[in-house]
Amino acid sequence: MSGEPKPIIAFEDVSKWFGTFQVLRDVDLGIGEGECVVICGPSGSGKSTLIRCINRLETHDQGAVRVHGVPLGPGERLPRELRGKIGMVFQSFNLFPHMTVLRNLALAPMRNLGMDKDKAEETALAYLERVHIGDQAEKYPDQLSGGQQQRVAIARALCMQPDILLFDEPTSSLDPEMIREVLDVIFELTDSGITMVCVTHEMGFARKVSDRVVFMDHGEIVESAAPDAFFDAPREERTRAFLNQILHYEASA
Amino acid sequence: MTSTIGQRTGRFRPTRLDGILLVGLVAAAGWMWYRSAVGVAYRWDWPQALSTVFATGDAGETPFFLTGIYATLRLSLWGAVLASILGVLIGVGRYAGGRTLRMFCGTYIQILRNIPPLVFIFIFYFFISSQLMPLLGLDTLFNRPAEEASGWQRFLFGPPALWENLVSGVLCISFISAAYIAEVVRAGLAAIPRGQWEAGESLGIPALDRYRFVIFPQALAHIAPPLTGQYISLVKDSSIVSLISVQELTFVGSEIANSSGLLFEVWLLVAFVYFLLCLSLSILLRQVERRMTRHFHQIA
Repeated sequence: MSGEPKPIIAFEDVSKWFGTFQVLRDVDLGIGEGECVVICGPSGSGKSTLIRCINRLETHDQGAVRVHGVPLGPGERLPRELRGKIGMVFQSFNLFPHMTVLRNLALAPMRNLGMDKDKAEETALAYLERVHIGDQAEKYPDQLSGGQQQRVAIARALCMQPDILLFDEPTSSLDPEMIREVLDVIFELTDSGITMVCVTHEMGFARKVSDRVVFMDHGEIVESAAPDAFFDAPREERTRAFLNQILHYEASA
Repeated sequence: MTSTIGQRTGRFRPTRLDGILLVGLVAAAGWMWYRSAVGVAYRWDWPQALSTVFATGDAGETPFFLTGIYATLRLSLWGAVLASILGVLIGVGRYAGGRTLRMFCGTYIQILRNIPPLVFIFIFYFFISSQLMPLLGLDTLFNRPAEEASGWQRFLFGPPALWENLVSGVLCISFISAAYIAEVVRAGLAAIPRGQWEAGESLGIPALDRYRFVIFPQALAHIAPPLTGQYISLVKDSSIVSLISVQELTFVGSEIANSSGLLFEVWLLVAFVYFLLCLSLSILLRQVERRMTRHFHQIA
């Protein structure tokens, strides 16, 4: 489907069912190294399931997924060599509530990469600075605002120095005034060389940040195009209908 | 009233209900005193009871009653340790194991919870003494000369002559308690939001570390109150192993009560000691619980 030279993530004819309900239908998708792809579509269209198949929080039932060239068959979990290489930022942050921010960040590098405590905390502080909350290191997650928590979550994922970063509706549970600070941080990551796949409803952000927008509906990829082409001249009727709805909504809101 | 249910109010203001309850209590106490003084015609002899209970042996051995208290303490300690280990393993197996392991753990829990502890102990004790001890070679280990036991061994496990006795008791108590602890642990694990597991997994934290640093500390904060109750139950329930002649407090109490004839005094003393043990344990565990949950902001 894509003409990218070096796909770091590849879906080949991937299907998945939840019981009798088919969430993914013959998905074919290649994502190039360093690319930033936004996935959009109505709720229940399989967007989250699709990206969760990349880090194997979900497994697919048919077809093949390749990550870093490693083939992952149906039902297969993430092999050891890929663990920690695919970061994920969740809608509900999922910070560890019983640890300080600093410890939230340092834990994985210490336990997975075998980094010593001082080095891990040094790294953690550097990434906290990068998401502009270096002064919150000793706080506990519930002492922070939603936007700050999500930035901590992004920094936590970055601490593992991932090649791929997945965002699963990172701003959907935020109060409106905090969405911007999180999107800004994600935008700043685009020149880091990390491959990013982001499920989001923020169309303005998609247009500004992404290299490609993928539209999904009923478990299949309807359209995949560069952002300008996608928003200005969508080829598919379903894409047009979706964009109309979204834009209409944004205009009225 | 600004306070919510369960919170302590600043000052105690007696209401009519308090008055009625107080009158009722006084009446009940008076009636019981009257019945015991007149109806039962029981002759209390506390000085005799106390001197019997705390009498040292002919060669200056520790009073029998005290050895019983020590034995109960050892039983409770080792029983709690073993029950915790087993309970966590079974609870985790029940929650996160494969189908076979889940079924095995579930069966264990159901069997232990649905047989009266006493019946279990009678069956299991036969198995321990006739099969398990010889199988593990424990009988030869425990039948060594008493002099070989070092001071700290005596302190932790009591007199060597009673080690086999202690092990039987500990096994019985902890096997029963483990079933209940396992259910508590399972419930604690189930209460952790899925996102916590997923965050740990997506960060590539190894499975055991995920449990150790992410899941268990949070689960423990959830289950601390029921777990505390379980440990207190364990101390009290340790009394049933007196029926397989484990020489703990209840066993010792019944021996002394029967031989001296001072039934009420001795049993009241036994009850008092259990009460003190359990009360101090619950106060201690509440402190531990407070320290432990100090930093759990998001967890109620």
